[in-house]
Amino acid sequence: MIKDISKAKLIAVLLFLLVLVPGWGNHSCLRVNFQSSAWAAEEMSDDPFLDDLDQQETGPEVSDPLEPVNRFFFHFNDKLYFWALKPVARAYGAVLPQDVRICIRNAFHNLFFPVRFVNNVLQGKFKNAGIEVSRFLINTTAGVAGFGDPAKDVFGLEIKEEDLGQTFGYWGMGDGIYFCWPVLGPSTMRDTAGLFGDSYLSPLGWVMQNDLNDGLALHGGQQVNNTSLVIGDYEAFLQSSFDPYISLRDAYIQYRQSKIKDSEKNAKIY
Amino acid sequence: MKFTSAVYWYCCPGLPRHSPSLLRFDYYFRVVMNKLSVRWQTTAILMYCLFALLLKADEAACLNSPADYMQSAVEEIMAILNDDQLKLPENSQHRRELILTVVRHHFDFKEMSKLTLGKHWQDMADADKDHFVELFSRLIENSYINKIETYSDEKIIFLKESVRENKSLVPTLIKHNDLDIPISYKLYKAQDRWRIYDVIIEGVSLVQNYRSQFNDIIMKEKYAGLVKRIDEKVGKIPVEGQ
Repeated sequence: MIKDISKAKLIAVLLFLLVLVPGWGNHSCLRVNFQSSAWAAEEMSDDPFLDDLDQQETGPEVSDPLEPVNRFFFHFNDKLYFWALKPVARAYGAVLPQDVRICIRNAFHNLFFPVRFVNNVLQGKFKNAGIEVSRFLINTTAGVAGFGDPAKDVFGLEIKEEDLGQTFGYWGMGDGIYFCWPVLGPSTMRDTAGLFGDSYLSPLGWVMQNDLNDGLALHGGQQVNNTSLVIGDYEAFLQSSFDPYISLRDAYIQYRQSKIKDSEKNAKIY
Repeated sequence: MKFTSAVYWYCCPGLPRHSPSLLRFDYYFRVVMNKLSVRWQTTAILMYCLFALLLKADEAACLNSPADYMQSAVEEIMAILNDDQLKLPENSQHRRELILTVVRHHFDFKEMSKLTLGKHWQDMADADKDHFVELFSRLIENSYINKIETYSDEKIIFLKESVRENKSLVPTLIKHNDLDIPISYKLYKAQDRWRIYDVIIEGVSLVQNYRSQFNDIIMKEKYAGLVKRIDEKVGKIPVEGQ
């Protein structure tokens, strides 16, 4: 669910960045962030055993000065899920069998190959970039336009998921402040900038630039399809959390940090 | 409690206890015992105790690796979940109790409570601490059991564990809808036994996630508010079989 929300829902990013970009250069939060990159690097040290069992310290915290606004949009997204996305995804899931929906998810994932490739290269992971190229070539041909995933099933080539937000993190940039965008869901300053950059690499972004309606339709289709495969996850999350807003914020930050850490670990395999 | 199980429990705290084969063994043991004379009964019991003690001696050797330990724990739970007899509605209460004993055995709820409360833990009275551990364990049990119930048909793959001194990290993968969901367990060793103190799902630590929420609630509503919230939650999470 978290993954779905953080995936590029591009048009809204473009809109929001129109608001954000003018003050980009002298944005105080961003500046603070770059200065605190030493801290960020230290926190992401690759030690799974460094935890609070020995020392009493609090884990990763994110600064959230916009909490009231973020909370508002969190509730907005919550309603959006229950009133729109979920019913539509339900009906869609009732019509199409699960196998077909998994194939469609694969096909969309395959389209985002340029994002993964470029970001692997940007992080200097040339082997992983090569794996992504092989995956794309195999799945586009033998996998029939990416609907199947023979690259993984037959050749054992695992997905090397990378995006620009992870690349920035890999370069040592901190989270910045936390955002909960309407429609897009949880993000941070760094990841929002990443999404914006990635939109130039994603075929969906290209479609959107040419024809906004087609792009939005495609994007909506992808969201409905992917949501139909994870119905129940968000409900379970709500059920087990005390303050869903805080829980999601913390989960998002932890999730992204583990992704970036994984990136660093993968980097050692050349 | 049945005699054989009792001995087995005492001797082999880390080995699977509720495996169907053990239950069957229990049954046959009693059938055979009924047919024996008193002298042979005594011999059989002595033999069994000896056998169990041997197992106990062996246990330390065979459960050295935390991954093996986790695997046996997971198999134990899976055996209960997949047991056709226990799936019957009239056995659901028994089934839940069995799962609870296993979960309580493997999770260190006291350590988890301590970690989730962080700096607030030290300021608490001992009675409050005990109460919180009890509440928190019920919370985790409910949500964890509901979670593994949905995973009972999925395949769990154990990956290579890493161990350092008395701590270890056991990564596993669960296949769900053709996606691999990484779930790692953090364990530490105390008194020659590995116990779980954190579960990390897709990179998100359960303890850390609860801590961020609890911290926020304590700041706003004090500790009493937190207890009230957990009470409500534990009461509200549907109990299996009801």
